[in-house]
Amino acid sequence: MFRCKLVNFLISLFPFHKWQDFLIRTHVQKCEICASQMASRDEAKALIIQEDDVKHFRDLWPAIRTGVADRKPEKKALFFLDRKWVFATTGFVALFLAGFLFYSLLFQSGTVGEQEGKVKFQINSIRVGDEPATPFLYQPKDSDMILIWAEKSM
Amino acid sequence: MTDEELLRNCLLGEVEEYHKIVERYRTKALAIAINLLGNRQDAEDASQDAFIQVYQNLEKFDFQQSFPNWFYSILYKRCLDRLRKRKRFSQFFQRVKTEPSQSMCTQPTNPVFSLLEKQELLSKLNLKERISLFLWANDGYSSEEIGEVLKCTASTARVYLFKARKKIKTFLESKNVSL
Repeated sequence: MFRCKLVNFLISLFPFHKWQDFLIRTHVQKCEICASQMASRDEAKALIIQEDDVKHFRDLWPAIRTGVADRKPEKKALFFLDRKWVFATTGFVALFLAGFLFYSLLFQSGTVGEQEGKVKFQINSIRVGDEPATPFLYQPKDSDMILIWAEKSM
Repeated sequence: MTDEELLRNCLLGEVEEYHKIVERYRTKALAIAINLLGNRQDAEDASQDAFIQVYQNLEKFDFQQSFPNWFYSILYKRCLDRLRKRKRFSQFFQRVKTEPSQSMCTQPTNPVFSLLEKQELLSKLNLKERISLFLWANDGYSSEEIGEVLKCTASTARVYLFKARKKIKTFLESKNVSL
């Protein structure tokens, strides 16, 4: 009897299912005293609502029939709408943009400088034989070479 | 015809075959649902939802497993959904609690216990304890099978059943009733 009380105390003391199950299996299921402290099948049956009690409930079939006809099985979402695919795609795009930006800043800086140089390149005045002249600039396509042609102003 | 044969016919598109399955499990489903929910309307709706969901997911059913266990686990989830919805409508919930006899509308089979007494007992058990007790007492389910329905281990199911039986015994002793 003391052991039964101790086991019941230990069951209530630690609310871990593994531990409680261990005590139930090793003692409660084998002990007649403990068994008498639990409801039998008949006692349980008497206290739960039985199938006979619900026989007069409404017929479910008409609604189920309609529900089955109306509601098709849930289709699997398209793979690209799947959350993991959305995350993966977003990540990939973000990485690509970051990489592109990094590349632009790191390796294209010379070009930017050159472009700045081009902007700064200008001819304020040109003279040919101490007389004012008109400059003509010519830069072949895709070339850094600039040809300057000066012609005496008329 | 066995459940398996009927279900295979349903998979071939014979919807009327499902009617037989519904008739076979209707009262069982309603009994479980009303024990879990304590309300006739919710029990009917939860059972109906469970049957529809089962039909729509028949392709996922593993015919190596027990159909009733699979069905009960779906029914249990639908009952949980109903309870969550009910909590959202707290005013309605209060009304159900205060008018239990109107919400149940059932005649108890055992004259020893009134419906109110049954409800009083049910309120002492949590959902997992209720379904464990029902399956064990009515269908002779083992802890392993209860675990299959509740998607938990047999150890956990054994603990639910132990607690449920203990609470019932305490309740019976408090009423000075022995069966």
